Amino acid sequence: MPVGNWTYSVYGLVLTSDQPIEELWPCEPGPPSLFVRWVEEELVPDGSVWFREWDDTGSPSLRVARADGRYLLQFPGKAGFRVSSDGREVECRPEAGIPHYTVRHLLLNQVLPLVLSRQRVPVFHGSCVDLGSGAAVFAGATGRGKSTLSGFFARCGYPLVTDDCVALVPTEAGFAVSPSYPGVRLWKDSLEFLNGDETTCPPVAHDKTKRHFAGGVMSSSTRPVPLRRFYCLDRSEGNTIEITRLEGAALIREVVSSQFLLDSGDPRELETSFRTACRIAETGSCYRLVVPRGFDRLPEVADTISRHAQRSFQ
Amino acid sequence: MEWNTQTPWVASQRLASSEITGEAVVLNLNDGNFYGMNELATQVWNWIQQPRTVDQLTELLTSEYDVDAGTARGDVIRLLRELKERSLIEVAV
Repeated sequence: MPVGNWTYSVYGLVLTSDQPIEELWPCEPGPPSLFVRWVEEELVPDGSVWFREWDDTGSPSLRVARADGRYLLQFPGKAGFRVSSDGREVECRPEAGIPHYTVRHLLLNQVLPLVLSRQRVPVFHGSCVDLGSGAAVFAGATGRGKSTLSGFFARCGYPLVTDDCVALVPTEAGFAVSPSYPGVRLWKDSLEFLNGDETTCPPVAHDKTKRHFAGGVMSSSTRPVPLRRFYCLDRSEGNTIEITRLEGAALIREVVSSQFLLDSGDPRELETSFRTACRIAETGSCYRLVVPRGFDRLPEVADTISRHAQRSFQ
Repeated sequence: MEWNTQTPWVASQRLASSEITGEAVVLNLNDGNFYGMNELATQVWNWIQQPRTVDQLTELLTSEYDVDAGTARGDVIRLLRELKERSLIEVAV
Protein backbone atom coordinates (compact mmCIF):
# COMPACT_ATOMS: atom_id res chain seq x y z
CA MET A 1 0.00 0.00 0.00
CA PRO A 2 1.54 3.40 -0.96
CA VAL A 3 2.46 5.85 1.75
CA GLY A 4 -0.07 8.66 2.05
CA ASN A 5 0.55 12.38 1.92
CA TRP A 6 -0.75 13.19 5.38
CA THR A 7 0.87 11.94 8.57
CA TYR A 8 -0.76 11.99 11.99
CA SER A 9 -0.27 10.80 15.52
CA VAL A 10 -3.19 8.92 17.06
CA TYR A 11 -3.52 6.26 19.76
CA GLY A 12 0.28 6.20 20.07
CA LEU A 13 0.76 5.31 16.39
CA VAL A 14 1.93 7.12 13.29
CA LEU A 15 -0.87 7.03 10.72
CA THR A 16 -0.49 8.06 7.09
CA SER A 17 -3.46 8.74 4.85
CA ASP A 18 -3.90 9.75 1.23
CA GLN A 19 -6.74 12.05 2.32
CA PRO A 20 -6.58 14.63 5.10
CA ILE A 21 -8.09 13.67 8.45
CA GLU A 22 -8.50 17.06 10.00
CA GLU A 23 -9.49 15.88 13.48
CA LEU A 24 -6.06 14.36 14.15
CA TRP A 25 -2.80 15.85 15.37
CA PRO A 26 -0.37 16.21 12.44
CA CYS A 27 3.11 14.87 13.13
CA GLU A 28 6.46 14.64 11.44
CA PRO A 29 6.68 11.90 8.83
CA GLY A 30 8.16 8.78 10.37
CA PRO A 31 7.92 5.05 10.02
CA PRO A 32 4.14 4.62 9.86
CA SER A 33 2.42 1.87 11.73
CA LEU A 34 -0.90 2.36 9.99
CA PHE A 35 -1.80 3.21 6.39
CA VAL A 36 -5.22 4.52 5.41
CA ARG A 37 -6.19 4.64 1.75
CA TRP A 38 -9.44 6.01 0.39
CA VAL A 39 -10.67 4.05 -2.61
CA GLU A 40 -13.56 4.07 -5.08
CA GLU A 41 -13.71 0.34 -5.77
CA GLU A 42 -16.28 -1.78 -3.98
CA LEU A 43 -14.61 -3.40 -0.96
CA VAL A 44 -17.42 -5.49 0.45
CA PRO A 45 -18.81 -8.01 -2.05
CA ASP A 46 -22.38 -9.26 -1.95
CA GLY A 47 -22.67 -12.57 -0.18
CA SER A 48 -20.03 -11.80 2.46
CA VAL A 49 -20.44 -14.07 5.48
CA TRP A 50 -20.68 -11.91 8.57
CA PHE A 51 -19.29 -13.33 11.79
CA ARG A 52 -20.01 -10.28 13.98
CA GLU A 53 -22.79 -7.74 13.91
CA TRP A 54 -23.56 -4.72 16.03
CA ASP A 55 -27.20 -3.85 16.09
CA ASP A 56 -28.38 -0.40 17.18
CA THR A 57 -31.96 -0.16 16.02
CA GLY A 58 -33.05 -3.52 14.74
CA SER A 59 -30.78 -3.46 11.72
CA PRO A 60 -27.00 -3.93 11.73
CA SER A 61 -24.99 -0.74 12.24
CA LEU A 62 -21.70 -2.56 11.69
CA ARG A 63 -20.89 -6.07 10.55
CA VAL A 64 -17.61 -7.87 10.04
CA ALA A 65 -16.57 -10.66 7.68
CA ARG A 66 -13.31 -12.44 6.86
CA ALA A 67 -12.20 -12.66 3.23
CA ASP A 68 -8.89 -13.66 1.67
CA GLY A 69 -6.97 -13.24 4.91
CA ARG A 70 -8.41 -9.79 5.50
CA TYR A 71 -11.34 -8.33 7.39
CA LEU A 72 -14.28 -6.53 5.82
CA LEU A 73 -16.18 -4.02 7.91
CA GLN A 74 -19.44 -2.68 6.57
CA PHE A 75 -21.53 0.17 7.91
CA PRO A 76 -24.59 -0.48 5.74
CA GLY A 77 -25.47 2.51 3.61
CA LYS A 78 -22.50 4.53 4.86
CA ALA A 79 -19.08 3.00 4.17
CA GLY A 80 -17.07 -0.16 3.75
CA PHE A 81 -13.58 -0.84 5.07
CA ARG A 82 -11.06 -3.55 4.24
CA VAL A 83 -8.39 -4.27 6.85
CA SER A 84 -5.24 -6.35 6.59
CA SER A 85 -4.94 -9.22 9.03
CA ASP A 86 -2.11 -7.49 10.91
CA GLY A 87 -4.15 -4.29 11.26
CA ARG A 88 -1.55 -2.14 9.50
CA GLU A 89 -3.50 -1.32 6.32
CA VAL A 90 -7.00 0.09 6.10
CA GLU A 91 -8.86 0.81 2.88
CA CYS A 92 -11.97 2.92 3.05
CA ARG A 93 -14.81 3.38 0.60
CA PRO A 94 -17.61 5.82 1.44
CA GLU A 95 -21.02 5.09 -0.04
CA ALA A 96 -22.32 7.64 -2.52
CA GLY A 97 -23.58 10.83 -0.89
CA ILE A 98 -22.13 10.14 2.54
CA PRO A 99 -20.26 13.18 3.91
CA HIS A 100 -16.55 12.82 4.46
CA TYR A 101 -16.84 13.81 8.15
CA THR A 102 -19.23 10.93 8.78
CA VAL A 103 -16.77 8.46 7.31
CA ARG A 104 -13.91 9.98 9.30
CA HIS A 105 -16.00 9.52 12.45
CA LEU A 106 -16.55 5.86 11.60
CA LEU A 107 -12.86 5.44 10.84
CA LEU A 108 -11.54 7.14 13.98
CA ASN A 109 -14.07 6.01 16.56
CA GLN A 110 -15.16 2.59 15.38
CA VAL A 111 -12.76 1.12 12.84
CA LEU A 112 -9.37 2.13 14.23
CA PRO A 113 -10.08 0.93 17.80
CA LEU A 114 -11.03 -2.49 16.40
CA VAL A 115 -8.13 -2.53 13.95
CA LEU A 116 -5.59 -1.76 16.66
CA SER A 117 -6.48 -5.00 18.42
CA ARG A 118 -4.86 -6.73 15.42
CA GLN A 119 -1.66 -4.80 16.22
CA ARG A 120 -1.98 -6.00 19.84
CA VAL A 121 -2.61 -2.44 21.03
CA PRO A 122 -5.14 -2.59 23.88
CA VAL A 123 -7.99 -0.15 23.23
CA PHE A 124 -10.95 0.30 25.56
CA HIS A 125 -14.37 1.87 25.21
CA GLY A 126 -13.89 4.80 27.52
CA SER A 127 -12.77 8.33 28.10
CA CYS A 128 -9.74 9.74 29.91
CA VAL A 129 -8.48 12.91 31.58
CA ASP A 130 -5.15 13.90 33.11
CA LEU A 131 -5.80 14.65 36.79
CA GLY A 132 -2.26 15.80 37.48
CA SER A 133 -1.51 12.69 39.53
CA GLY A 134 -1.88 10.70 36.31
CA ALA A 135 -4.51 9.55 33.86
CA ALA A 136 -7.99 8.58 35.05
CA VAL A 137 -9.78 6.28 32.64
CA PHE A 138 -13.56 5.96 32.72
CA ALA A 139 -14.51 2.73 30.94
CA GLY A 140 -17.90 1.19 30.39
CA ALA A 141 -20.87 0.71 28.12
CA THR A 142 -22.57 3.44 26.12
CA GLY A 143 -24.78 5.82 28.07
CA ARG A 144 -23.00 5.67 31.41
CA GLY A 145 -21.74 9.23 31.22
CA LYS A 146 -18.07 8.71 30.37
CA SER A 147 -17.80 11.61 27.93
CA THR A 148 -19.87 13.95 30.07
CA LEU A 149 -17.64 13.23 33.07
CA SER A 150 -14.46 13.78 31.07
CA GLY A 151 -15.95 16.88 29.49
CA PHE A 152 -16.74 18.24 32.95
CA PHE A 153 -13.17 17.63 34.14
CA ALA A 154 -11.88 19.29 30.97
CA ARG A 155 -14.07 22.33 31.61
CA CYS A 156 -12.53 22.48 35.09
CA GLY A 157 -9.07 22.74 33.53
CA TYR A 158 -7.87 19.15 33.47
CA PRO A 159 -6.43 18.16 30.09
CA LEU A 160 -8.48 15.71 28.10
CA VAL A 161 -6.43 12.72 26.96
CA THR A 162 -8.99 10.93 24.81
CA ASP A 163 -12.71 10.35 24.42
CA ASP A 164 -14.60 7.27 23.31
CA CYS A 165 -11.51 5.09 22.80
CA VAL A 166 -8.64 4.64 25.26
CA ALA A 167 -5.42 3.15 23.92
CA LEU A 168 -2.83 1.97 26.42
CA VAL A 169 0.88 1.66 25.89
CA PRO A 170 3.00 -0.48 28.24
CA THR A 171 5.63 1.32 30.29
CA GLU A 172 8.16 0.18 32.88
CA ALA A 173 5.82 1.23 35.68
CA GLY A 174 2.65 -0.14 34.12
CA PHE A 175 0.76 1.65 31.38
CA ALA A 176 0.30 5.09 29.87
CA VAL A 177 -2.73 6.36 27.99
CA SER A 178 -2.07 7.55 24.43
CA PRO A 179 -3.88 10.69 23.29
CA SER A 180 -6.29 10.45 20.36
CA TYR A 181 -7.63 13.82 19.24
CA PRO A 182 -9.20 16.87 20.91
CA GLY A 183 -12.81 17.07 22.02
CA VAL A 184 -15.59 14.94 23.45
CA ARG A 185 -18.75 13.62 21.83
CA LEU A 186 -21.87 14.65 23.73
CA TRP A 187 -25.63 14.37 23.61
CA LYS A 188 -27.53 17.65 23.50
CA ASP A 189 -28.36 17.77 27.23
CA SER A 190 -24.72 17.18 28.21
CA LEU A 191 -23.57 19.77 25.71
CA GLU A 192 -25.91 22.35 27.21
CA PHE A 193 -24.80 21.52 30.75
CA LEU A 194 -21.16 22.09 29.76
CA ASN A 195 -22.12 25.41 28.15
CA GLY A 196 -21.45 24.13 24.66
CA ASP A 197 -23.05 25.94 21.78
CA GLU A 198 -24.87 23.66 19.37
CA THR A 199 -24.26 26.08 16.51
CA THR A 200 -20.49 25.82 16.88
CA CYS A 201 -20.30 22.11 17.74
CA PRO A 202 -20.77 20.02 14.60
CA PRO A 203 -22.58 16.68 14.71
CA VAL A 204 -20.18 13.74 14.83
CA ALA A 205 -21.93 12.30 11.76
CA HIS A 206 -24.68 13.40 9.41
CA ASP A 207 -27.16 10.94 10.94
CA LYS A 208 -26.19 11.41 14.61
CA THR A 209 -27.47 13.90 17.16
CA LYS A 210 -24.28 13.70 19.22
CA ARG A 211 -22.06 16.75 18.88
CA HIS A 212 -18.31 17.12 18.83
CA PHE A 213 -17.42 19.53 21.61
CA ALA A 214 -13.87 20.83 21.70
CA GLY A 215 -14.68 23.83 23.93
CA GLY A 216 -12.83 27.12 23.68
CA VAL A 217 -10.81 26.58 26.84
CA MET A 218 -10.59 22.80 26.78
CA SER A 219 -7.00 21.62 26.85
CA SER A 220 -5.87 18.28 25.48
CA SER A 221 -2.82 16.16 26.12
CA THR A 222 -0.54 15.54 23.20
CA ARG A 223 1.71 13.08 25.03
CA PRO A 224 1.01 9.76 26.75
CA VAL A 225 -0.03 10.16 30.38
CA PRO A 226 0.87 7.48 32.98
CA LEU A 227 -2.19 5.49 34.02
CA ARG A 228 -3.24 6.30 37.58
CA ARG A 229 -6.77 4.94 37.83
CA PHE A 230 -8.89 2.66 35.65
CA TYR A 231 -12.49 3.23 36.70
CA CYS A 232 -15.20 0.90 35.43
CA LEU A 233 -18.10 3.31 35.39
CA ASP A 234 -21.65 2.40 36.28
CA ARG A 235 -24.86 4.27 37.12
CA SER A 236 -26.27 4.20 40.63
CA GLU A 237 -29.93 3.50 41.21
CA GLY A 238 -29.66 5.62 44.35
CA ASN A 239 -27.90 8.80 45.32
CA THR A 240 -24.55 7.54 46.50
CA ILE A 241 -21.13 7.82 44.90
CA GLU A 242 -19.26 4.57 45.40
CA ILE A 243 -15.67 3.66 44.60
CA THR A 244 -14.72 0.07 45.36
CA ARG A 245 -11.65 -1.88 44.44
CA LEU A 246 -12.08 -4.44 41.68
CA GLU A 247 -10.36 -7.77 42.15
CA GLY A 248 -10.06 -11.24 40.70
CA ALA A 249 -12.35 -12.54 38.00
CA ALA A 250 -14.73 -9.58 38.34
CA LEU A 251 -11.88 -7.23 37.49
CA ILE A 252 -10.76 -9.25 34.49
CA ARG A 253 -14.31 -9.57 33.20
CA GLU A 254 -14.94 -5.81 33.47
CA VAL A 255 -11.66 -4.86 31.83
CA VAL A 256 -11.90 -7.37 28.98
CA SER A 257 -15.53 -6.52 28.28
CA SER A 258 -14.54 -2.86 27.83
CA GLN A 259 -11.92 -3.75 25.25
CA PHE A 260 -12.32 -3.36 21.49
CA LEU A 261 -11.64 -6.69 19.74
CA LEU A 262 -12.01 -7.09 16.01
CA ASP A 263 -11.91 -10.87 16.06
CA SER A 264 -12.79 -12.24 19.47
CA GLY A 265 -12.93 -15.69 17.86
CA ASP A 266 -9.17 -15.51 17.36
CA PRO A 267 -7.62 -17.17 20.43
CA ARG A 268 -4.45 -15.07 20.10
CA GLU A 269 -6.44 -11.84 20.18
CA LEU A 270 -8.46 -13.11 23.12
CA GLU A 271 -5.36 -14.16 25.02
CA THR A 272 -3.65 -10.82 24.40
CA SER A 273 -6.73 -9.10 25.77
CA PHE A 274 -6.68 -11.35 28.83
CA ARG A 275 -2.95 -10.80 29.46
CA THR A 276 -3.42 -7.04 29.19
CA ALA A 277 -6.25 -7.17 31.71
CA CYS A 278 -4.02 -9.17 34.06
CA ARG A 279 -1.22 -6.61 33.70
CA ILE A 280 -3.65 -3.79 34.44
CA ALA A 281 -4.82 -5.76 37.47
CA GLU A 282 -1.23 -5.99 38.70
CA THR A 283 -0.99 -2.18 38.73
CA GLY A 284 -3.72 -2.14 41.38
CA SER A 285 -5.38 0.77 39.63
CA CYS A 286 -8.81 -0.77 38.88
CA TYR A 287 -11.93 0.37 40.68
CA ARG A 288 -15.67 0.23 40.15
CA LEU A 289 -17.07 3.74 40.12
CA VAL A 290 -20.82 4.04 40.66
CA VAL A 291 -22.26 7.50 40.22
CA PRO A 292 -25.78 8.91 40.55
CA ARG A 293 -27.69 10.30 37.61
CA GLY A 294 -28.13 14.03 37.21
CA PHE A 295 -25.85 16.82 36.10
CA ASP A 296 -26.27 18.59 39.43
CA ARG A 297 -24.19 15.86 41.13
CA LEU A 298 -21.27 16.10 38.69
CA PRO A 299 -19.20 18.60 40.72
CA GLU A 300 -19.41 16.31 43.74
CA VAL A 301 -18.59 13.24 41.62
CA ALA A 302 -15.58 14.98 40.08
CA ASP A 303 -14.34 16.12 43.49
CA THR A 304 -14.64 12.58 44.89
CA ILE A 305 -12.74 11.14 41.95
CA SER A 306 -10.07 13.81 42.09
CA ARG A 307 -9.42 13.12 45.79
CA HIS A 308 -9.49 9.37 45.27
CA ALA A 309 -6.98 9.58 42.44
CA GLN A 310 -4.57 11.54 44.63
CA ARG A 311 -4.50 8.87 47.29
CA SER A 312 -2.17 5.91 47.38
CA PHE A 313 -3.65 2.66 46.14
CA GLN A 314 -5.75 1.00 48.83
CA MET B 1 -20.39 -40.15 36.02
CA GLU B 2 -18.13 -42.69 37.66
CA TRP B 3 -14.72 -41.25 38.54
CA ASN B 4 -11.67 -43.39 38.17
CA THR B 5 -9.43 -42.16 40.96
CA GLN B 6 -6.34 -43.28 39.05
CA THR B 7 -7.07 -41.25 35.91
CA PRO B 8 -4.62 -38.35 35.60
CA TRP B 9 -6.26 -34.97 34.89
CA VAL B 10 -4.50 -31.84 33.70
CA ALA B 11 -5.47 -28.27 32.79
CA SER B 12 -6.70 -28.03 29.19
CA GLN B 13 -4.45 -26.68 26.48
CA ARG B 14 -6.52 -23.85 25.06
CA LEU B 15 -6.77 -21.74 28.19
CA ALA B 16 -5.20 -18.61 29.56
CA SER B 17 -5.00 -18.28 33.31
CA SER B 18 -3.54 -16.04 35.93
CA GLU B 19 -3.68 -15.54 39.69
CA ILE B 20 -4.97 -12.18 40.83
CA THR B 21 -5.09 -11.31 44.52
CA GLY B 22 -4.95 -14.99 45.38
CA GLU B 23 -7.77 -15.94 43.05
CA ALA B 24 -7.21 -17.97 39.90
CA VAL B 25 -8.87 -16.48 36.85
CA VAL B 26 -9.21 -18.68 33.80
CA LEU B 27 -10.24 -17.76 30.28
CA ASN B 28 -11.43 -20.52 27.97
CA LEU B 29 -10.01 -19.50 24.60
CA ASN B 30 -12.50 -21.71 22.78
CA ASP B 31 -15.61 -19.88 23.90
CA GLY B 32 -14.32 -16.70 25.59
CA ASN B 33 -15.87 -17.57 28.97
CA PHE B 34 -14.21 -16.49 32.22
CA TYR B 35 -14.05 -18.39 35.47
CA GLY B 36 -12.96 -17.18 38.88
CA MET B 37 -11.92 -19.67 41.54
CA ASN B 38 -12.09 -19.60 45.32
CA GLU B 39 -9.13 -20.43 47.56
CA LEU B 40 -9.57 -24.21 47.47
CA ALA B 41 -10.23 -24.30 43.73
CA THR B 42 -7.22 -22.06 43.12
CA GLN B 43 -5.01 -24.44 45.08
CA VAL B 44 -6.26 -27.46 43.14
CA TRP B 45 -5.97 -25.52 39.89
CA ASN B 46 -2.30 -24.84 40.63
CA TRP B 47 -1.67 -28.51 41.40
CA ILE B 48 -3.40 -29.65 38.25
CA GLN B 49 -1.12 -27.70 35.97
CA GLN B 50 0.65 -31.05 35.81
CA PRO B 51 -1.19 -34.37 35.59
CA ARG B 52 -2.72 -35.47 38.90
CA THR B 53 -5.13 -38.22 39.86
CA VAL B 54 -7.98 -37.90 42.35
CA ASP B 55 -5.91 -39.89 44.83
CA GLN B 56 -2.91 -37.59 44.44
CA LEU B 57 -5.04 -34.46 44.78
CA THR B 58 -6.75 -35.90 47.85
CA GLU B 59 -3.38 -36.58 49.45
CA LEU B 60 -2.16 -33.06 48.66
CA LEU B 61 -5.33 -31.58 50.08
CA THR B 62 -5.19 -33.52 53.35
CA SER B 63 -1.53 -32.60 53.81
CA GLU B 64 -2.23 -28.91 53.20
CA TYR B 65 -5.54 -28.47 55.03
CA ASP B 66 -7.08 -29.80 58.22
CA VAL B 67 -9.54 -32.09 56.48
CA ASP B 68 -10.18 -35.85 56.54
CA ALA B 69 -9.54 -37.97 53.45
CA GLY B 70 -13.21 -38.73 52.78
CA THR B 71 -14.23 -35.07 52.78
CA ALA B 72 -11.19 -34.11 50.71
CA ARG B 73 -11.91 -36.79 48.12
CA GLY B 74 -15.51 -35.60 47.82
CA ASP B 75 -14.36 -31.99 47.37
CA VAL B 76 -11.80 -32.99 44.75
CA ILE B 77 -14.27 -35.04 42.71
CA ARG B 78 -16.89 -32.30 42.89
CA LEU B 79 -14.38 -29.71 41.71
CA LEU B 80 -12.96 -31.88 38.93
CA ARG B 81 -16.48 -32.56 37.70
CA GLU B 82 -17.16 -28.80 37.50
CA LEU B 83 -13.88 -28.15 35.72
CA LYS B 84 -14.56 -30.99 33.29
CA GLU B 85 -18.08 -29.70 32.52
CA ARG B 86 -16.50 -26.35 31.59
CA SER B 87 -13.79 -28.02 29.48
CA LEU B 88 -11.09 -26.57 31.73
CA ILE B 89 -9.43 -29.95 32.33
CA GLU B 90 -8.78 -33.01 30.23
CA VAL B 91 -7.41 -36.48 30.70
CA ALA B 92 -3.62 -36.36 30.53
CA VAL B 93 -2.11 -38.46 27.79
